[in-house]
Amino acid sequence: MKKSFNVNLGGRIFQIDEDAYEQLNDYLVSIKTCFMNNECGEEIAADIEARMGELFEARVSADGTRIITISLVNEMIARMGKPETILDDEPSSDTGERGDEPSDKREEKREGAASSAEEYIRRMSMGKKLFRDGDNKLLAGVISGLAAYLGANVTLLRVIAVILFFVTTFWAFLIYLIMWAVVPLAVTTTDKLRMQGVEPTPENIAEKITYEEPAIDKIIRNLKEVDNKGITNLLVILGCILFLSAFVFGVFNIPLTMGYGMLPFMLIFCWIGVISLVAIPVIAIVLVLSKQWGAIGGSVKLLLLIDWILAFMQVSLIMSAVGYGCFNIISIL
Amino acid sequence: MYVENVKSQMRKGMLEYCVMLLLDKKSYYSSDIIDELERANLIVVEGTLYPLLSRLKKEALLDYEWQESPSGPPRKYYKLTDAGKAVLATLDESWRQLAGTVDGIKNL
Repeated sequence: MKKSFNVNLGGRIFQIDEDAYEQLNDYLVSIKTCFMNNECGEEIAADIEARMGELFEARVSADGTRIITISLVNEMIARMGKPETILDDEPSSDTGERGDEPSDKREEKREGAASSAEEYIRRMSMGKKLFRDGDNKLLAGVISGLAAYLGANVTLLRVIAVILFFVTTFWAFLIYLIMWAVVPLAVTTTDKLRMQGVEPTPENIAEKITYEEPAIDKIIRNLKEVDNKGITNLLVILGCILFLSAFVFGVFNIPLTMGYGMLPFMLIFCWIGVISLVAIPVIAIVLVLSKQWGAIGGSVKLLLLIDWILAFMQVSLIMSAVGYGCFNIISIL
Repeated sequence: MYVENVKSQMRKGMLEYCVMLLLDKKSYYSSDIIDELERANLIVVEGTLYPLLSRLKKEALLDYEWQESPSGPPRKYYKLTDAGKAVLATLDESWRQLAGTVDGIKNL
């Protein structure tokens, strides 16, 4: 599932996927910056945009859809040419006395145009930026993005994160959830370059785009599965927590109270159980009502059911251990 | 690689002249120019054409007018100006010379 919206490309309206939009925008911006020193730069960029609109028009009407995907964008970028290739074919990006000036001077001016374009992009980007790394994610790519940002080892950071989760009980996971919500996912080539701290110059973008091109269809095909993988992992982890806490608290009858009520550590697991017990049916009902239930993978549905049963077991066991009587959950809620 | 480089240099030298030759006959929509040039294997990436047209326009060698399109937004139709035709005549002359020189060297 991808977000998509309408875009006006050289006077034509298309529906475009979010990642395709970002990629196309990157390309058009890099074209514009390349011709920044040219007084007709705007016009050249507009002409190229119009031509791309025309090419997209021909393709999407042939395909019978009006949706521009990222693979189509990459195909058209290859067809129009990388900004550096277009610039390279320019004898002079300058006005006036063409042919009168010595060629090395012209060369110098072209260099000047390229470096000022780079300067512009550098000012826009200001170095490394924190992203979530969707290509190497386990849950949401927070830790792998952080690893790229810090230049640290992913596995090491993940181990630290798991230890932190247990040491700080719920707080580390809460921070993880907040970062999941706040830190953007690296979608476009510019994002991925900036995540790794590489300058997103037109040259670097072009290199990365051409480098990724053969794999791009494969990436798109895997995208839904990868998305499900994050949710699946989350549900498996939730199931493990519920099962272990139920096992420890219920079966071994570990005293949950220390004279002054429940221990905060245990209370957190109780809350995880109670929230799962309520939230899973609510989520399921919302999904069914919004007709999204069919879009969910079978393994996710199964895991939701297992997690709900585990939550029911855990909550019942804890309630009985605390002394409210087995299955008497409603009175405590 | 080296051969490709030389070929690309030759192509670049020819490109401007060929575009002007095309536009001398009738006015062209830029996408039709691209079609012609691609058929003749003169350009590799399409984006190259637009800075070239803009350059010729700046030199007042060509001009364009907007025309309604049967589908989609209006299109720019390019054609040579009188100055462009004059420049093309001198380019024709130097092409004849170049071709003569090349043939002459080949037949030495």
